Amino acid sequence: MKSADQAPPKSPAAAKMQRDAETIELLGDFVTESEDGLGRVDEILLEAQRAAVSDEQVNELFRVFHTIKGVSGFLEAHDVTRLAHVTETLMDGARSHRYRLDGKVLDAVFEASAAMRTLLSEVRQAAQSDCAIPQASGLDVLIHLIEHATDADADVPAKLSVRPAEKRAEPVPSRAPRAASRAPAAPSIPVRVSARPPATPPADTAPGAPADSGGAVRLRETVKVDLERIDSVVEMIGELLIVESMVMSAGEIQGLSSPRIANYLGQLTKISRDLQGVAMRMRMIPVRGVFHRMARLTRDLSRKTGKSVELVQVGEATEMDRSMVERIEEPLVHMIRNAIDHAVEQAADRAAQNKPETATIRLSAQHEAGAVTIEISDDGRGLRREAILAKARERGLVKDTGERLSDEEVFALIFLPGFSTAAQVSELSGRGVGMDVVKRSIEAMRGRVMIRSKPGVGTTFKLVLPLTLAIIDGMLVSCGPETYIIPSLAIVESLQMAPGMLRTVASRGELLNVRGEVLPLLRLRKLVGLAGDAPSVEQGRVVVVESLGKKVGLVVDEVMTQQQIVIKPLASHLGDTDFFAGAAILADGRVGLILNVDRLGNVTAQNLRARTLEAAPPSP
Amino acid sequence: MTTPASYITFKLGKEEYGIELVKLRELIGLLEITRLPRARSHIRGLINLRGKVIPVVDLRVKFGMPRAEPTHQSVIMVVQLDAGNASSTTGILVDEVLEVRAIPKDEVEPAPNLSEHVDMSFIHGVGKVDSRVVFLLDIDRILRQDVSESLRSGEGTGLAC
Repeated sequence: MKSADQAPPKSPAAAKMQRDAETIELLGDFVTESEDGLGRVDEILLEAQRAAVSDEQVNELFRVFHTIKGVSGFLEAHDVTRLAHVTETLMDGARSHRYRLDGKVLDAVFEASAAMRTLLSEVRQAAQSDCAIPQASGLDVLIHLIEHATDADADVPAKLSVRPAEKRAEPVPSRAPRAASRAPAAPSIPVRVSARPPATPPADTAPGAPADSGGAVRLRETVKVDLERIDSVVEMIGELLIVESMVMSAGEIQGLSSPRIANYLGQLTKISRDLQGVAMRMRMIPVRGVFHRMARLTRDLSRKTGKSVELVQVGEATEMDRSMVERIEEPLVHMIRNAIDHAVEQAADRAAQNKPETATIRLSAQHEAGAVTIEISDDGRGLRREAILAKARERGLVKDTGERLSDEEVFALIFLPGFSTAAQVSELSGRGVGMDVVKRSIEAMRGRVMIRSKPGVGTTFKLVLPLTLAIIDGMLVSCGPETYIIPSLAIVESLQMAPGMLRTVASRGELLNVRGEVLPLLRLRKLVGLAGDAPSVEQGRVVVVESLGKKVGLVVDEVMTQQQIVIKPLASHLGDTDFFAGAAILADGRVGLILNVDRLGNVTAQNLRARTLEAAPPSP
Repeated sequence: MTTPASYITFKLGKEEYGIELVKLRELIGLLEITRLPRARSHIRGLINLRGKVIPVVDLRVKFGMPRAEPTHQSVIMVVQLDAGNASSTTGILVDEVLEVRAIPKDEVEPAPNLSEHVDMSFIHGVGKVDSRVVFLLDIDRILRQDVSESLRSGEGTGLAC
């Protein structure tokens, strides 16, 4: 093992290094999160001094060091990794009850935690000043101490210092294990409010790397806030926006001709929009964490299946609502499993098709027109239309040959529960439980899934998700005196009815012919049970909505306006309210109902199939 | 030891009802109620209560009386209901609010089957106010019935697959 003590001191110039913004951000997150973890460690350790701690708490200690080890390895903070590794090993013994967390073991963890803080503050400083992470001296001694904490006679007090910071006069926070750490309130308990450890003021940087000079990078500093507080801020801002639009559209205000008032109101609107943006961003986190877990999953699956697969990640910095980042993971796991298990061919098959031996799965995220799109593309064998149709026929999901179904409709069949074309159930997938889970999770987030696929070339799943679960863009449509809201994400187009577009098939239902494409037609008036004289269909407007590749034309009286709306959930005991995804408060203060487009699609699915079959020629 | 409980009394048709004052959050005059298509018949719709969307129960319909168009005397009583694990704010549309009245416990008798309309399980007692009879409602029970019915029928589970 290379000893840090014997390593030649690096010259400051050599220690200078360039990092891209992303790495710096990662380092910042790592330090902040690790310090939070160490805060918990210290709490548990202090408790352990007084009384035995629970298994769960010992587990927590293990997990903190385990996490630090994992991330630091990735970030090439080698000293941190080494220290975390031995501490993790020590905690592993404690959690499997080989020894107790007391005496020397406890002292050693205390030391490790203190030293870890020092190392982390060095990492932070190095990142801020574009320096290489300095090597710590004395670490070997400490590591030796930790490794032998369970031995009978080991008792070596450790001092840790960091080489490039030799000029520092004050000792690095480290305690004589016996004396100080036994006091119930050890003086070096870190104060959790400070975002930066006080031991490393910016002026105290290594020579040659002035942190405050123009080119220096500042690490983002973060404060952890209870999610509930953020939610209540977001909710209140939502209400503020509602009240604001009520004020703006009030007749009295509209009647004013004062340019001054108009100016003030304009400013008010701008500030409240900005406020909304800030509030929304507070809940947003990058998809990076999930993407990285997918990379690990790909590696594991690639090993298990013996297929060589590489995951290319694009746009990991794309931010989404925190709760959605969590919820997107499960569908992604299913889709990547499916891709590796079913779509990617064995190496020999790939070679035969002149494809590179290593398959590529591209996982990308980006913001697109007020939504987040996530795409998973593989370069595997592609969806086989005929195989899907055969399976669907076998399962009775389509009654005839299904020849008239579009590719999109055929591909959408794989989202049906229990559908799987895999000939064999493998360890990874093939039980047919995957894709309907994908569909359900995406729908639950008010998103859409689209499939593109070419035989032999590959398949792309495109998920379109709203930026947040709480606020969406909605199109207001009228139906008699009532106003309904259609989520803009689901709208394909809105068009004026023209003669010849409407067709009635065998008195079973109405179809809409849009430039040759025949869609089922729903009348909003009928759907909401509204009596009274509707404008004739020719005067109405049709909003074409899409869910899972199924398009439906919805006849409304009028398309009014588009606006951002805050979704309010409906209580569950009100009746058959599945048709509504929630309610929202309109600009005039009334309540408007948000249509659940996926449910509309399902309403017509049955009829559609019946009609399609009826219109189809008998199979040869 | 009979600490009189306070009730707010109101009218539905010709009959007088009361609910415990502690359940009441506020009274609001009639405002525009958005109809909720396909809801239970006694759900009159949804209102905007300062940015919150709450359902409004038409107590007349719930009690089997003919539905009536609201008048200027109609009031929405906003109550905090506690239905098992679902606590919720709900509006209750009544014909007219009368008064807040303390009714001593010894003036409350167990419910006899007097009302021709009301399922007696919703009534936890009959109070005497002056010479009039007031049906004291167990308002939580009314919502609880909806919740348990919706659980039985499996509605509101979200996805229709």
